[in-house]
Amino acid sequence: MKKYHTVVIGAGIAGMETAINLGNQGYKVLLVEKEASIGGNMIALSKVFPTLDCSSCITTPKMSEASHHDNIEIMTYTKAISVIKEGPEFNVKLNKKPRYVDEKTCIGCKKCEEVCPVYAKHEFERETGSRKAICIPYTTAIPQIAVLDPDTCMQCGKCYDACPTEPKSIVFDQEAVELEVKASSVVMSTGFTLTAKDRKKEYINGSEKNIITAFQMERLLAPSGPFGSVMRPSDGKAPENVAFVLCAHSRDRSIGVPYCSRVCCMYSIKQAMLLSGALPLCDITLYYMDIRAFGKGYEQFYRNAEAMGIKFIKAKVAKMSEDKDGIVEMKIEEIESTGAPVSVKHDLVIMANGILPGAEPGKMASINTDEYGFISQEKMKYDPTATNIDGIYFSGTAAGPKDIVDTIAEAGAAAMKAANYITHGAGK
Amino acid sequence: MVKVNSDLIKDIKKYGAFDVSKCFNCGNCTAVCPLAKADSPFPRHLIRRAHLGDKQAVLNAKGTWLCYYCGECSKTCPREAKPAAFMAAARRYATAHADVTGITKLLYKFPVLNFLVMSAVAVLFGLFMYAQRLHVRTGEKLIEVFNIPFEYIHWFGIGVMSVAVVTLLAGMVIITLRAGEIQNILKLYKEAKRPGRNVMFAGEFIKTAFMSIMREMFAFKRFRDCDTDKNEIVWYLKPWLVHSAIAWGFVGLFLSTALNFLIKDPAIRVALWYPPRFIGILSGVMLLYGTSVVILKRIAAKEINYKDSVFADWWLILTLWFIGLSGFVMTMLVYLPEVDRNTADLLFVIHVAPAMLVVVMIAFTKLAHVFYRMHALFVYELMGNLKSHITNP
Repeated sequence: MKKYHTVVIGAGIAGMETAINLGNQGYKVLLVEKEASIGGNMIALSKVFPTLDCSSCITTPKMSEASHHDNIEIMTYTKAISVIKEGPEFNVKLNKKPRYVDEKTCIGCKKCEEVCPVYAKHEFERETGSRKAICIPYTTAIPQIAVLDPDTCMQCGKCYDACPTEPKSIVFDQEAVELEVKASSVVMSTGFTLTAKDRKKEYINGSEKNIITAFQMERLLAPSGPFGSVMRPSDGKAPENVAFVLCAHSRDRSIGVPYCSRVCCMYSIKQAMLLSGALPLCDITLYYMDIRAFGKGYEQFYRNAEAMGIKFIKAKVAKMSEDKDGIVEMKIEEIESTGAPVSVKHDLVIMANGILPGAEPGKMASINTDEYGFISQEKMKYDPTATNIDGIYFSGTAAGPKDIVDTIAEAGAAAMKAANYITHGAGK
Repeated sequence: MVKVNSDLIKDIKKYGAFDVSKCFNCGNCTAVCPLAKADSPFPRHLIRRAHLGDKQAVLNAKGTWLCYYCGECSKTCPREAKPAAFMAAARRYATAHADVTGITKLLYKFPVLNFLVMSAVAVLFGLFMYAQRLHVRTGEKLIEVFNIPFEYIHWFGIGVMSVAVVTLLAGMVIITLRAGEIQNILKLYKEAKRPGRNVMFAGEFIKTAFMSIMREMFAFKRFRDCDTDKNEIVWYLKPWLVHSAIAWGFVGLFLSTALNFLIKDPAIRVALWYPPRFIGILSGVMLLYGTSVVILKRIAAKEINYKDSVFADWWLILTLWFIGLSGFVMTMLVYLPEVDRNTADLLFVIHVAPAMLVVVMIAFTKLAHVFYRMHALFVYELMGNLKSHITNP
């Protein structure tokens, strides 16, 4: 059984930063990622608030650093099944899913992708674009190894014929592998996922096309996005009147997400700013309940957006419906003026989806979680990255919605705590 | 200017189950409401007013009468503050405060008292009616057990009824004053009549408003607009249909009872198509159907508009159901072989006592909403018509 100082579960920005921090101190780290590439959610963002830095310009170097680090071993397409404490140490059970591509021989030449005749919805582009049934997850994916999607593959064998390696890298009969490793400490950085598009039936109640999720908007705005410009999904028209609906799936007990997702205000303002840059003639309106500009420089960011001519209307959008021309009608109350219920029309609507836990860290490691599945911060004030089990720490959104600034800070803290545990804790 | 009064919301809370202290004023309820309009924003607007203690704003609001409790606002409320239950409570509050005697307030606030009063009145009615029947039939004077001359009871009954009617009329006047600000109506009318203006006559205004009320009452137009679960509920269980079955069943039974006494002796065997009998049977079936559905739904308390029932809801629906059922049994008996006279009298009393109770207590129970809601909507409509006519002649 292989032994590491730390197993980091989840290779998003939190996990990568934790792993790099530990690796730089000389600890051997195993970085486990359930997707085919490391990078997590952040690599899919267009830009980050409040600096409007290019997101991939920050994330790609981190990905690269983690993958080339002497002390970090990366396992992608691998799920952590269980983390069991034995004495001061941990047994971590992993399940490596079949990629149907040999990781050792694949050279990432993309020949298979070129010949593949199947188009499927692109997960990385949040279904705004399409990918092949066998492909490298996205341009800057690490590792650059193709993945075959058995659900859409029709087994024509064209990729096998096109593969230039010897032996062929495409292995149709690959199977999942169970493995177990030992670790002195574990860091959970399982991240987040956004609420499903149709979580609230008052918003999406069928095949509405021009109501999109925040992540889809990120992809439309990203320079590496599917179209290279913002266009509305129903007919590819450049939108002229766009609405952002804040608290779309947050702070809403009726759909079971009563908490604030914290970053939606800021990312929506950011998207509005980017959009006004991309489409200068576009009218942009934000419907908000409260603007929660919680971090350093965030309030200024919000004021800047106002000064740019982005309209802010205080209202909770109650209902949305799309007509046959793709115009979305929304019902709101004019809280700040007459209190009258009114209908407003927009040709593209972006929902600020709520944040949910990306995995089940509680089940995985039998640590305490809150009722929504986020890791409980047992010692919030004096040991903010600790869980209820000594030796298991967390970083990032696994413990609740937070922004990248806080995530990076937490990743450093968690790495330090894990290092402490390895050298001084662990029963000493 | 209104002084902040935190006691108002506590007072309204006594009329229903809701928790608007959770409300964070997002306005979802108003926006999702199929009936809220620009000139009558609710529920959030009213919740806010109630929180601040603006009693007049709550009492004067058109919204309380517009709301038909589809429950959409409670279903989608991000805070689960039950705005629909608040609206129901505000409606009870407005009804109770239209009653000059203060009886309605007591009955709503103290359900046990409500139960005792209603039971006592019903038992007294029953007893006196039975005594009277017995006296007519056998000459036996049951009443004299209490040593009260029959005339006293008769006049007492008439007195109680007059109080009820006067209260009801006074309530409607109060609602007119609240809703229309009568001096404004007069001012507006004078304005409208100024020479050189091509205006409709007052009769026209009233006709327009009256027509809209007819729409409301005959077709339950707003209640149908309120039908938000378009595909979730089968048509025969739709709230507006069930409600109109009860309303028209009640009106029909009232009519057929009156016709019965006017045209013929109520307890004789006639052909089923004979109008009083036919209307009676049809209305009875409607009333029984409507009330049964509502009772079952209120027991199940699954749908939001049948949750949070208060005693006044239960009392009215159960009494109506009982009246419908006993009336049905009585009609059946007419067509069955001869029954013993005393049993027939007892059954008659059991049917008529609650019916009389409902009619006599009409000003103090939930049933007052029939008059108050119709009247309020009529006055608001009239005001609206006048205003719109003056602003765009």
